[in-house]
Amino acid sequence: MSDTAMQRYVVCYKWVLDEADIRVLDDLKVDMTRAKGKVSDFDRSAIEAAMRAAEAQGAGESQDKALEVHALTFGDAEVTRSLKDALSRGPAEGWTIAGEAAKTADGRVSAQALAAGIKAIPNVSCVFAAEGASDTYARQIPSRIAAILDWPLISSVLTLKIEGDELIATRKLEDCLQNVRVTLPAVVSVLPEDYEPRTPGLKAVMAAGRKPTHELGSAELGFDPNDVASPMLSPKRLNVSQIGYAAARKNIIHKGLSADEAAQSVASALRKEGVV
Amino acid sequence: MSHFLNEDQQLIVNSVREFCQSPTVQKMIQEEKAVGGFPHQSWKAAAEQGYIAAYLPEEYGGMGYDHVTYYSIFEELCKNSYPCTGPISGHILGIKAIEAWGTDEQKKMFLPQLGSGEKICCGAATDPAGGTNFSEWGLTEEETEDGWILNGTKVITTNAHNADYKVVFGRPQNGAKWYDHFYVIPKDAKGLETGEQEMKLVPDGSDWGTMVLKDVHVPKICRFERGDKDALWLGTSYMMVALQSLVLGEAGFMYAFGFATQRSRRGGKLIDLQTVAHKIADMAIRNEAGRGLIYTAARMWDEGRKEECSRLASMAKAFICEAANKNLHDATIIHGGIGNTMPATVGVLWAASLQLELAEFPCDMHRDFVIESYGVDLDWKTR
Ligand SMILES: Cc1cc2nc3c(=O)[nH]c(=O)nc-3n(C[C@H](O)[C@H](O)[C@H](O)COP(=O)(O)OP(=O)(O)OC[C@H]3O[C@@H](n4cnc5c(N)ncnc54)[C@H](O)[C@@H]3O)c2cc1C
Repeated sequence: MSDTAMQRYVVCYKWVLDEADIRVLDDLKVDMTRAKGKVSDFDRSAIEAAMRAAEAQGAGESQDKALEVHALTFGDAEVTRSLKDALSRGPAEGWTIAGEAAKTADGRVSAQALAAGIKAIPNVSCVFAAEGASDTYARQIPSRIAAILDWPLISSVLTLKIEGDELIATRKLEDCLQNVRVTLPAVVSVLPEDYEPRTPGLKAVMAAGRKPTHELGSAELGFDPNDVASPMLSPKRLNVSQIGYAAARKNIIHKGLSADEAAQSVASALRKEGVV
Repeated sequence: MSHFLNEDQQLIVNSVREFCQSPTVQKMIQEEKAVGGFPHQSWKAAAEQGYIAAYLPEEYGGMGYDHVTYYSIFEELCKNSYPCTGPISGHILGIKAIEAWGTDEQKKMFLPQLGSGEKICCGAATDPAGGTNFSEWGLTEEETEDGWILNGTKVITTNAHNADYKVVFGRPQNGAKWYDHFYVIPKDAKGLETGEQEMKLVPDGSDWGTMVLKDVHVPKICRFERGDKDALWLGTSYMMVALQSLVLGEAGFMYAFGFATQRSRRGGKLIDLQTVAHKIADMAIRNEAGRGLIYTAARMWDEGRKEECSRLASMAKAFICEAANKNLHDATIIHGGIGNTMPATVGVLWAASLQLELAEFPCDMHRDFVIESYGVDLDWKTR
């Protein structure tokens, strides 16, 4: 199978700071100095969705590679460190767009960079992404990419399957499920519910280091990802400040009740708040 | 884990954590706990991930990892209370012995299935006369034309029942060491019986008990002899027990720290009392000292500095197992009376820490090993 004849599903992922390492200090300053990087949790599910869609069509089983999942990310110079992690989750190859612009990027900038990356990868028939990243959850990237590529977008996808050049998906709406069908190429943004990511075993982690990776630069993208001042890469939305937020406690005391009543009262209050 | 993991090792540890915490694995663990007994499912899942004996070469079912990485994997499993860490530790004692004394033919015969975790192993040394009372061990071994006939009993052995292959250490005679020769006996060997499961002080899912050998015939190929090889590998097995203790010692610190920073005391917090704060600081110091010992030893092994590793491994076993007990004792006391209840857990962990002081020889035995490593001859031991 020639390189150009092989179909590729591209899954976009973001290398984010691990929120478990982020501390909100007493003065509400946010301390990220100890936070390490990780593949965004929601993106792990997007990778899983892409892998399952490809595997359902026999990808990875034969030597004749007709279809592969490739991973694509946009980030600063550090982002190449994410590749082994992402590739240990299944994708056959990794692509990075690494540059200073990622540090200040808003959704518009990130989507333009990723869309340019997708165009640079040969024969992409489907793009997978999560609804949002686990750090900002701005929910802009898949729709913006679809708009730039002029491909259909299927958002809020619970489950999907691909048959030939058709993608059939079940979308989760507020209070109902909707089944839709599109002809590829398309962009899908998946919900994590039904796509619990596989955890890479030691073999997969070892194999990840041997998988091909590519860094996309000006030649392939048509712009320099370090050129922060260019109109394309300068953000229109600026971060003004970031402070910790701790919800005020409600301090409700359930008094004067028997143990059973108190338990019921607490349980129903928690349910009302949407905690359980 | 070591404080000095490289990015690849860190990625591996992260993936182990992710595995342990994934909803599917958590569900499997809960279901298995509800049924009770040996954690076969957890074992199988860990084997599929490649964790069981990842330090072995690939041809023997492992991944060819160094010991720093392997111990970091094992420690992460322990930290996440993954159910089969005790069984893995018992398994490793057996397969390390096979790896060390086995001829190529013997290693090929047993290691690939054991290294991959497809089959389970145990290392049975402890004799009813006393695990450390080597010269009075009761096993009898009679040589025949085509092998050996064994009679005797081994007790309180991890994986005694479930091990597909039982590594049974022979009786040391004429100044020989307890580990100088052993037999590998398949589960279904005629004359091999496993007794009742022992009830642990703090019950867990592991399998721990007795094996009775009545005229068990063992073919020649299943007897392993040390010959002139060194026995320094034993330290790498002791370290598995020390690692489990290290995790318990850290739990002691976390329980005590969490409690003392929240428990109010005369307008302040319990940790404001200097004596409490110092106790907790000591826990952290012991943990860090233990971590330093064990991962330094592991690094030495990986660098081929086996004698130094062996000494440090016994230091680690002696120090960390007692330190964990001390941490959990103090953590229990810091909790006050509530520390003595089951739901508070901390007291239960204290009791659980005892078994690690005993397993793979009590800490005082390791002090013997340490002093011997400086050239002191403890000749009473061979009497
Ligand atoms: C959880 C658990 C798992 C175990 N798993 C295994 C296993 O897989 N395989 C196996 O063979 N055994 C196993 N054991 C047994 C363990 O190795 C023995 O309990 C230990 O070696 C001590 O032997 P013993 O119990 O017969 O005590 P003894 O040898 O009778 O010793 C009793 C006590 O005497 C003291 N003592 C003995 N020798 C010395 C010394 N040299 N210096 C100072 N004091 C000394 C110590 O306080 C010791 O605890 C396990 C034990 C536990 C608790």
